[in-house]
This record gives sequence, C-alpha cells and structure tokens, in this order.
Amino acid sequence: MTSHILKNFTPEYFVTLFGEDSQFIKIGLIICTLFIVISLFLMVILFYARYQKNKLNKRKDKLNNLCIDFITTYLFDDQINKKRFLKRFSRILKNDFYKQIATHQILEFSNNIKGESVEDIRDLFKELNLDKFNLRQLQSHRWEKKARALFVFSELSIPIDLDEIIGLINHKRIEVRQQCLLYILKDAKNNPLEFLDRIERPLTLWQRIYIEDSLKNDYQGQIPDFSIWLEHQFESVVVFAVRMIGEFNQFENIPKLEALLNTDNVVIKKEVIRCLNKLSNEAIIPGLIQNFKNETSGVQLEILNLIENNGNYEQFLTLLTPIIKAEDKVKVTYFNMNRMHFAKESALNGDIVKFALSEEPMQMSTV
Amino acid sequence: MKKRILVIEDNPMVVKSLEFKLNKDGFDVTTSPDGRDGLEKIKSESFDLILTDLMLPFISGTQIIEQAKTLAPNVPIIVLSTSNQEAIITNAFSMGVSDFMTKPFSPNELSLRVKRTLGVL
Repeated sequence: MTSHILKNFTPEYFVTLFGEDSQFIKIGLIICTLFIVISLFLMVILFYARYQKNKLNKRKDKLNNLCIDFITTYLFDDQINKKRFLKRFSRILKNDFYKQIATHQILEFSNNIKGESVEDIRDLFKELNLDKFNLRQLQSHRWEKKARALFVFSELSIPIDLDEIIGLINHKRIEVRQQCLLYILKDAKNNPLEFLDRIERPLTLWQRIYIEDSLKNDYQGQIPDFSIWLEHQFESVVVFAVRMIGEFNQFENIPKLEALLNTDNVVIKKEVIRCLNKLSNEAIIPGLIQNFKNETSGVQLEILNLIENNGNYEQFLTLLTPIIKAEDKVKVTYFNMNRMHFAKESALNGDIVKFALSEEPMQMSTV
Repeated sequence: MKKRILVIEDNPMVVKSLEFKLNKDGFDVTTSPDGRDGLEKIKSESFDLILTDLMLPFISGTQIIEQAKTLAPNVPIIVLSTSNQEAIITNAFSMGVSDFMTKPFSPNELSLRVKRTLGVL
C-alpha cells in the first residue's frame, strides 16, 4: 500500500501538480543545493581544522621533547660545553610559539626538581632570553598573555620592576588581577599586603584563599598588623583582615574587633564573632546574649558556637527565652548543644531546655 | 652486568630526567608511561629495582606495588610521588616499599637513594 503511494511521487507528478514553471520547485531546488554546498563546505572546514590541530599537536610534542632533552642535558650532563650548547638551542627558539613551549618546559622542571638544579633552571631561563620574551608578553594588550607572563615570573621567582605590574592589580580581568596579586605576595620582602590600599575591586573568595595560603606558606617576612584594614571600603577586605587576625593570633587587636561588633554589616559581624571565638574571647558573651533576639539567624548561630567553645551552661540557659522566638535552624542547634555539649549540666537541671522547647509548637521532627 | 631499573611515570619531563641521571650512573633504565604498561613489563621482564609514581593512568601506583610484591617480592620499590600526606606515605611503607620520595625531588638525592637501595653505594 505504502509503496504504491510512493510510486506516485515522481518528478512528473510534481510538475503536473505545480506546473512546469513553478516558482515553488525552483526555490526548493535552490535551497537544497545551497544546503548541500554549505554542508560540504562545513565538512571540509571541520576536516581541515582537525588536520591543522593534529599537525600543531605533533609539532608541539616534537618541540616539547626537544626542550626536555635539551634542559635535561644542560642540567645533568657535566661533559658538554654549556655555552655552545646554549647557543645552538637559542637558535632553535626562533618564534613566540617555540619560546612559549620552552617556557612551559622550564616551568615543568622548576615544579618537579629541587636542590642545586633550581638555580641552574633560573639561569637557563635568562640565558635563553625567555625573561625578555615574557616581559614582552606582559606588555601585550591581550589579558591571557599578561596573566601567563605574571604566572611564569611568580613561579620562577624572577624579579621584575614592581612599578611595571602594580597597575595590573586593578585590571578588568580577574585572572590578571589574581596573578598580579600572587606575584606581589611572592616577591614581597615586607608589607606584603600593601596592595590592599590600592585595590578598586573587592577581593574574591579565591583571592582571599590564595593570599592566606601565600602568607602562611611562602612569605618569609614579618606578618603585618591586619587591624589597619578593619575600616577598608570593601567588606571582603575587612572580612579577610578579621579572619587573618584570628589565624595569626593577633590578640593585641581584640579591642578593635570588639568595637566592630557594633557594625550593621552582618557578614563582618559574623566573621568578628568567629574570630573572637578562635581567640578564646569570652568577655563579649554577656553583651552578645543581651542583644541575641535582635540578631539575624547567621549571627545567632555564631553566638551559639562561641558559647559552646568559650561560654558556660548559665550563659547557655539565658538564651532559652529568645531561642523560642528564633528560626528553626537556630533552635535545632541550641537543642543539639543541650543534648551533646551540655548533656551533663542539662541532666542535673532536669533537662529544662528539652521541656521548654517541646512545649513550643515548633516542628521538632528535624531534630 | 648493569642493574636494571624500571621507571613507571607519566610525566615525560620526569621520565627523561630520571632516565638520563640513572643511565649516567651506570644503570640500565626501562620506562613505562602508565600503570598498565608498567605492570606488563613487571610480568614479562626482570628488574633489580622499580621506581614508580602513585598517580598513574589506567592502574594506580598502589595497585602496581601490590602486584609487584606478588610477582617479584624481592625487587625493591621506590615511590616518587607529589603526595606528602602522612597516611599515604605510611600506607606505602606498610605495603613494603623500600623508600619514598616526594616531588619536587633532587635528582642527586634520588640517585643516592637508588644506589643505597641496590647496595652499590
């Protein structure tokens, strides 16, 4: 049946249907032809792109291997004439692509090798004029070149003029800002966070993590007094400074942190309580209890955490009345504290917390 | 006769440096770019020492150590890894490795450790 119907769809059938000079058929034919041509064209482009990519990868692999061989021989073979060897290799690095590959391999060596060879790697970088090449990249208008160059200088600890890069701390691309910040931190001999006074954009979470890590693991100089950034225009910088006061045990800054407790900024307030908790400051607990009912749930949770670590059962019990009006997650935390942390004291007092909270219409199924 | 060392490592830069340094020290070095190839070589050839990374393609370094300890229990193993976590290092030693080196490594130090493990120092 179907084949019988299909047999009717011959070219003659369409000619009869639309007429010999039908515009409809002409347009259809043009569209079909165009579609076939475009498809073929795209396929050719696709194959060509793949071919070019494979070719480039092959070239890259070849050059990578050549660089590895060269650097290995340069570093570990004492019998070669290093000057002549270097000259020969410099001639190979004829364009930016070659120099990029060489820079990449030098970084690989620098990341995997330690000991006396590290100095040799840095010398090699300069001998091959890769420092000049990367300085040129730094001055380029393309952000990825700038970021990469900064990364290279930072990884190899190559000194560059700070005036040249300090402006990049406010670059529109975060990648450049981040690499610039890392370089400054790694290079700094003292006052590593001076750049915080110059930034025009807030610090991202990752930047804060990087700075903290760098201060803890790379920076060798004196740790700065973080309290000077407690009044910074950006909330992220203030939060970072507060956190660092806690991380580096700057007990002398406790009065300044206590003053910050009056801020209306919830994020800062939470960080201050967290920091004072870390610094085992119990003196602020009575004041915080007094104002507990007016705080947001986030701040209330921080206060509970503070009482758990530095407070006592009496202070904990004082919160029973405001807790009844708090959000469920705060009630749950309070209840769990009663059950786990103050279990002994609670049992001696007839578990009034459980009694008081069970009287509440709150949904305790989550507890 | 030269002592035979199998280096199982996926980073070509590390492989080349190790190969160069150990060849210079007078060892016969065979390399494997991944765990599967390394394991095949352990099964089919005999070595005096195995130098392996822990993070390898296809078969992990830990699995290689386990297999090597069954197939060639007397062959000493040195681990060269980026991991410096105490638990990983302890685990490697409890599996019977002779030495553990973390990356970045000093090629001279590695050369000394290899010689000491092979008793040629």
